[in-house]
Amino acid sequence: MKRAPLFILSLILLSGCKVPFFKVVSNSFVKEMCSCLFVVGQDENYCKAYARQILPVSSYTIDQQTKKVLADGLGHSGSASYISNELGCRLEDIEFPKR
Amino acid sequence: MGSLFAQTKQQQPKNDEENQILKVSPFTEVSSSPSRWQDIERLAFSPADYSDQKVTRPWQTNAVLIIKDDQILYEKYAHGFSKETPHRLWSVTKSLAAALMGLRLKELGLDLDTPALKISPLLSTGLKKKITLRHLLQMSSGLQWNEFYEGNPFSSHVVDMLYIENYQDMGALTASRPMAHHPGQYFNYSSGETNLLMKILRETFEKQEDYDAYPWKKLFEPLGIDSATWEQDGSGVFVGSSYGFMNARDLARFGRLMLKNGLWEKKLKAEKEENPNANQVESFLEILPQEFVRQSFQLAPSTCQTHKKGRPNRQTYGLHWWLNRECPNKKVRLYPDLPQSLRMALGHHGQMLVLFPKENALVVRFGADKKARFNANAWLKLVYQELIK
Repeated sequence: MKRAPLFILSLILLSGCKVPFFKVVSNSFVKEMCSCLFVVGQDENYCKAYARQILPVSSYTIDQQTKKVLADGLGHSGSASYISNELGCRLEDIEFPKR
Repeated sequence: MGSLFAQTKQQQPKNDEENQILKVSPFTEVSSSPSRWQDIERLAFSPADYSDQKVTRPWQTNAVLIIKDDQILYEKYAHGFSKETPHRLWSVTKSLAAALMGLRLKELGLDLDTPALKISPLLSTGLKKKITLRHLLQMSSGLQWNEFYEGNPFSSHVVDMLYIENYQDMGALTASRPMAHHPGQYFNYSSGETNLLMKILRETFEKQEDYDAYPWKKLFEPLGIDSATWEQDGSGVFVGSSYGFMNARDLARFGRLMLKNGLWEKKLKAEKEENPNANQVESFLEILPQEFVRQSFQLAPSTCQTHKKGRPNRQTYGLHWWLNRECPNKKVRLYPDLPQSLRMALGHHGQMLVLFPKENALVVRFGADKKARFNANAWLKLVYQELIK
């Protein structure tokens, strides 16, 4: 546990690089946030805490009308959209320019 | 490959049969003394009472449902969940995925020992040609795979599959892994194998819409399950490893189907309402092939042959169902305080559907155990003690 802050700092310093693994932060967040909100029907605060994996995203937006979640984290952007009641949410293969 | 199945018409239940299937709840609510469930409730829902100083974020139970002889003995929800709320099933979804395979194989007249190659060209090189559907359902294909989650995400194929490079086509990632063992000889729990099975299942349908509707037509609707969501990857294949959702009572219906060897009564409830003396059920419908259900709970030989890091593996497995069996060569089991007859669908963050076949009972527990691990052995032991009273 003592090494955790150093580990996190290293990740942040490295976040300027496009490391594919770092997509996990934004992609897991948007996918699980989308499912939590639009499939499970929980509120944003619960879902925000639930969807966080390993590290928090730096920013996110929820479009309630189109049922889409976007997020940025560690140099990558993620997007997930709600498809239907039966098929729930799906992660989309879209990279947005870093805001 | 599609031509093999093009001529196979999807068998639909006859309309008159479909209309007769029991869809109202098979469960009845009974009043039960709260003191009887006090310890069970406390261990599940009041983790702070048990946490030591090392536990910064203890387990979180969102739902518990305990049913015996179709009577709801105990039911409780927390953290914003209710009996209507669909909950993430995570790897409990795998047991639903297996049921779909069982249904489809019977429709196609194929058995479990059919090589996957007969359906899909994905496994067409070297040793991979020998991988059968049974091997995949037993998590024993021999395909190399690292199944880690938050604890060690860097070398995890699951994390890669779900979130990083391969979420558009999860089955293809699994099929591309190198062979590490001869098929059928080594147990290696792999979410990839379930998603490969779901991709193989997709290849037995010509139309995407027929595949999309299949779990509802063949499994959920006949059982009266109406809270289900099942998410797909980018190629339109069900994420059978992880992305099923339903509420606790609906999952209990699936558990009940497995307890009843795939059979479901025709309109039992309605008959009872119309005629209170109608205690005898005249007929059942086979929702899941009975032979497939029987095989689902047979011990996969690979699990007893497998040694992890030099130690015998405590895990025993059937066809996408966890067992609590002792292997002949070792006297250890996954949950030592529980009987060997236990059958379990277990998922990430503490999801569980546990069947007690000898007691005709089942337990659903939903959780969000993101940090500390819920002690399933200790908790299920308390539940079991109540069930056998």
